[in-house]
Amino acid sequence: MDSISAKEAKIDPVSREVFIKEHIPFVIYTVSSVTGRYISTENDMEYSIGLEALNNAIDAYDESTSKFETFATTVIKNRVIDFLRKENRKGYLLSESDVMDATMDESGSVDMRMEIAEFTEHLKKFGFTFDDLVDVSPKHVDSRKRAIRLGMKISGNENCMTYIYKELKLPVSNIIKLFKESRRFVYLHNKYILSIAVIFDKDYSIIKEWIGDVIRGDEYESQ
Amino acid sequence: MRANKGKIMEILDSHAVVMTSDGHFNRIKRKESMRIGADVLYTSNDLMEKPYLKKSWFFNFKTQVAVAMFVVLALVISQITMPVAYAVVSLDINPSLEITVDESRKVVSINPINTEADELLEAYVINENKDLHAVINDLIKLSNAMGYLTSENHNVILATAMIDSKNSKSDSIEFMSEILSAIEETEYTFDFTLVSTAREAGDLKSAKSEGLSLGRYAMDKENFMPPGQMKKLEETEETEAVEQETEPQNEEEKTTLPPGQEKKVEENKNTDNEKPLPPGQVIKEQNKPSKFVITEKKATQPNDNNGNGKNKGGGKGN
Repeated sequence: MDSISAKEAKIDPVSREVFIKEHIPFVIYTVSSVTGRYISTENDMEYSIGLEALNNAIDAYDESTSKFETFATTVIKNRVIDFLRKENRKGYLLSESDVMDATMDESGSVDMRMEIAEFTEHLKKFGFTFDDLVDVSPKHVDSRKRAIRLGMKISGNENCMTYIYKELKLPVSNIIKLFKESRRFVYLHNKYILSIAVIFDKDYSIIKEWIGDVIRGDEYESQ
Repeated sequence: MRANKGKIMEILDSHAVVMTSDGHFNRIKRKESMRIGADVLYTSNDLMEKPYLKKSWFFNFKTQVAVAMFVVLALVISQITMPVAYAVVSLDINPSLEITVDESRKVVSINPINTEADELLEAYVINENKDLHAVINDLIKLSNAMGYLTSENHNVILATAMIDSKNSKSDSIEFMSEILSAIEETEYTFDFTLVSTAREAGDLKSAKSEGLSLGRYAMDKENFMPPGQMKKLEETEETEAVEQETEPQNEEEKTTLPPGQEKKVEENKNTDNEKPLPPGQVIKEQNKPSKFVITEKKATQPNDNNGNGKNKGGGKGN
């Protein structure tokens, strides 16, 4: 299926665009495995080099020799390695981490880090960490929306929030009465709901903005 | 393969936790240059689903309490069910070994003290009842069968001590007398000399600290020499002149008697000469009163079933 798509992408610009979009995860993974770190944003130079290498690989690919992924992996890896060598030869005075620090500071990441650090401390008081949230956060997007919506509502209720900070747990019975939620749902996702309530109550604006897609979707639904 | 974008919320030793823009949390493999708050692009290949056993499980309070309770329970059960060591009997023939028994005279353990004892115990299968008296008799018989107990090396040195120092020496003496009666009642096909001593708990500790069996330690302490060894020592130390002085004695007796029985026969001559003892009957003699008791155990003759003294003067030595 891939070789056919690569063949089509070679001759048809629209198919090429679709083909490249489909292979973005592949580019991310390949570039990341060469550099040994995650691509930080879409503007990452290595990521751009990887995309360009994928485009070139489509042109140079001969389906009779190998699978497209095998061929493209070699092309992307070689391009990224060449780029990194050239960067090293330039001999910048600033180290990679210095550059990263500067970039992150510019984009307001210091505030982000402060917010995350403060949020982490709050979670510790409740007896769990982000690592625990991996296992208890709702897997299905609809459940997440429902939990986030409930967390937002709880954050707007002063009595509930007072109880939460005092008792370090959700006032489950109160929540069921006030917001007409099922007991099972509240119990099942109580840590996640509690975290969302704290995010909105403490007004962690950057984190709120980060999960804005879900909130906005939620708002559209309610309109 | 799917691509995701997430913010790094927590960085741990083996992985990091990211929050996606739709509020989901993921664990991803840890890589270089990760920073809290940084946006990262990752694929489904980077995800770690149930990747590890949480390190903290052992340090969890509930687990600690459960483990502690289990350990305490195990200790209590072991204390209840484990036999309690009551006394020690040392048996020296060379092999030298120590037998620990509980109050009901069941053997708790047998501790070899030298390599000969290792060999002996390797060949010995302990009886089902683990009865002390049976074990002692078995070990003496096995020592004879394996060639440790011979007509030249005929001494079996037995020493007893109670483990708890609160138990008096009289308990130790009583315990030894039980063992001697059990040996007396047992039929043997060979002769041997039994040297026995009942000791105190303190001697047991001292013997252990010196790496000796209780019997050997007692002999060293009291400077006691078993009959056969005494004679051997005399033979090697005395000059020819001394030997010539002793020659005028009855030569017939000297050649027929086994070493160590000389003194007893002399006594028998003087006191009880007309009544030779039947085989199997025990002659008791105290070398040093209250310290060591020397007992001659004679072989039981096959035709002397009742021990009624019909074959008077019988036994291998004669």
